[in-house]
Amino acid sequence: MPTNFKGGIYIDVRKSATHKKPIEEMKPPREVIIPILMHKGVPCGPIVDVGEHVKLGQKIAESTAADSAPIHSSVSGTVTAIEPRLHINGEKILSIVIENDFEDETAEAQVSFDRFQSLGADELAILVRDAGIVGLGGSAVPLSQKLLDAAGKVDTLIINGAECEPYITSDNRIMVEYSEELYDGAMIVAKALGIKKSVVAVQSDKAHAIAELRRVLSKKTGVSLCVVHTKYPQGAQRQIITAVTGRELPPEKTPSDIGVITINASTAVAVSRAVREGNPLTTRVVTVSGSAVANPKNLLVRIGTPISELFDACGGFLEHPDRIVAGGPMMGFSQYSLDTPVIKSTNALLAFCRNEDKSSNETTCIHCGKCVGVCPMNLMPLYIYREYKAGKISECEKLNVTDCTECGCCSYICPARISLVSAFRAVKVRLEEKTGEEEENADR
Amino acid sequence: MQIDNRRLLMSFSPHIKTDEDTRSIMTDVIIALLFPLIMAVYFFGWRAAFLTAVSVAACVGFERLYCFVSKKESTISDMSAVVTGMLLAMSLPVSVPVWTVVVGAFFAIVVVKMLYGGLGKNFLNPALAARAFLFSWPALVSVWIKPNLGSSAIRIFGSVSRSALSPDVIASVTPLGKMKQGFLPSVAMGDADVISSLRDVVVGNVAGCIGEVSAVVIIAAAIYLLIRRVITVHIPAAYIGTVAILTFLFPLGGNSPLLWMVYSVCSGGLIFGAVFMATDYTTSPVTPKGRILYGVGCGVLTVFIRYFGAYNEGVMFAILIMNCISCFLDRIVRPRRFGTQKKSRKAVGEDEASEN
Repeated sequence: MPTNFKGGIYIDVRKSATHKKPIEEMKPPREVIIPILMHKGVPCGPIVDVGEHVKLGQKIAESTAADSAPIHSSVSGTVTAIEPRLHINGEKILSIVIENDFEDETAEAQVSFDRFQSLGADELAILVRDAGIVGLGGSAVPLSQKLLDAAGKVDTLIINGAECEPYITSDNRIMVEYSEELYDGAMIVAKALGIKKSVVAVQSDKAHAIAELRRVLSKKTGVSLCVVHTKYPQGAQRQIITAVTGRELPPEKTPSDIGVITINASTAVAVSRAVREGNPLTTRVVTVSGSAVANPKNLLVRIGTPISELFDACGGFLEHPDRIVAGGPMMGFSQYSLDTPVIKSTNALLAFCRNEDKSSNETTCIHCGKCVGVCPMNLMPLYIYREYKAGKISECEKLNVTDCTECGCCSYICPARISLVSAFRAVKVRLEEKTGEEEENADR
Repeated sequence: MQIDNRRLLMSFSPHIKTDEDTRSIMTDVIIALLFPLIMAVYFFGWRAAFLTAVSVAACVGFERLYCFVSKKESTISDMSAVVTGMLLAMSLPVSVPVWTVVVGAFFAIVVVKMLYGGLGKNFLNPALAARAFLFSWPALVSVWIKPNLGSSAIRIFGSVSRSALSPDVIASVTPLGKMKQGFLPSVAMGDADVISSLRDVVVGNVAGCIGEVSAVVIIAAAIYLLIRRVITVHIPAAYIGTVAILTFLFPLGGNSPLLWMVYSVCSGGLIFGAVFMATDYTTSPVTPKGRILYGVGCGVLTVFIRYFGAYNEGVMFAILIMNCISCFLDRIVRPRRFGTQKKSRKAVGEDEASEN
């Protein structure tokens, strides 16, 4: 079985600060800030008002769109504001602010769960949607959308436990501590979709998780373990599919088109919780790490907790951080304030001192071709960049810039320190604008 | 600790970068070039080191001067001028007058590199182009010194013209010079012992340019560059492999194919060129397939020039010719688009649909 993919970078995983630290439940915060957009797709609309009392797990925002997931309160208390607040992506987004009364008065589950043995794809999709489950590995794609897309088309389920980004250990701890729930979640999805082959793919650097899963899976049937090569971006959807099945996901297709559905390890555990216990998604595990953090940890936190409180729970900073990143160092967002809240897809919070940041001034491209060698999407980043610099956006399109997944390998490896990914992001925005304009012109 | 938001740096992902930069890569190349340079000092004396030092100083000086005159920020800190300087000196015979090295450095840095926009923009390898330029004075660059004469044989500084040298010091011909006429160097040089002659060619105890004489040491340098991931194996392997196959299949003068092949591969600047010149980033393709094609092209041209051209040496012109078509190779040899079977922009599914 192939366990590798072409391209990618060998990168110091830097997980030793937290990979053996058990998940620690963090004290609930005094106030949570819950943005109405925590998934990939259409934002929700608030269904509560300022001053209203809400219970833990109560639905507070929803949407009828297919590519959306409702949002639940992660504490019980009073809604004090519904206003734009700073989001982890750097924009201001409408958020529901709830003051915690520390009662944790729980809302009743709305869906009946006694039929779980015979859950079909449609029923499971309704259930996970109602629980607000989205891809917890960072993609934040609503799970219901994935399930409906996959129904009747897929033969392989991949539980993605690669966690290839440096520093992050939240999935690793989930796999070590919740392996039974992970198996359960995988079987629920596999049964609902009629899938015969289910694989948990774990990157080879996670010896502990591999041992634990091997122990659990050896006693059960239906799910096998696949140890994949430690290389970034092993956990990216296209690369994990290629590594496990040997299939390549063509451009502009979804995994279901090639018979595969991929679900993050933490998402599988969330599915089990939603089905067995009726728990909507109101908490998640966040790795807090980086050279500036006094005591790096894996924290179980309420969604909506301001990131400043997570750092406080880890003993604060050793020195003034140079940079704060939400998510992994390769694809995360840098933060300019600690007031932003943890959202559903926040798997890590990193604080770096200056010495960890090796970026220096951009110099000229020396045509070394290292970016071509590492690109997992078989692109030629240096030539796309050259066309971009020359202002030839349509030439960039011919070089398949739209295939770029922004994994960051080219920028990481570039000896001239050129910000290739930022350039490609700009090109893609320009291309989208262009197609938008063309469609508008066609309509007239 | 109170966090001052203004002190938080904003950056686009990825937020971490590799340690390696242009300067460290160039430093690795310099370290690799020291391997053959040390051998050259052993065989040809300290003049080899002196010429290299002059060349490096001239290249760095001209680049600094160019930046100063054109009011650009100085680029000498990327160390690429040092590499060019070393490559230039090491591709010349130890007997060249000092001023030729300075003229070559001017041509390499100012004409070939900086006028085209500096590092990464030139289409010819600066050191090799300068060497070709210096071949306009064949008399100056074709006095070959016998190796291993002891350091007193050649003056370290000053003139080393043909008339100034004692006839014992001058090698009548390089191995390739004899091979051009279809003779194995061992026979031609009156060396009956094939093994010792072969050993001389492999170790580098023959007449030739400063850097190119010792095949084994250059291979060691190549291994260093491969381990440090400065170069990939494609170009040197394709280049040397092509020359080996062609010379094995078509030995001149009815010689034993195997012997002819070994002499052909180890003689002249082939290995030096394949490892240090043909792998120059700026003037070679970026894809593995493109690099193999490039290497094969260099190999075919080298053998062609050696067999049929006016020069004994084929490496320099072969690489310069391939330099010119390198960007074309990059354009035609594109990697297969992920998820598709052909180089077309069509997806796999669409291909199947159109066939049905």
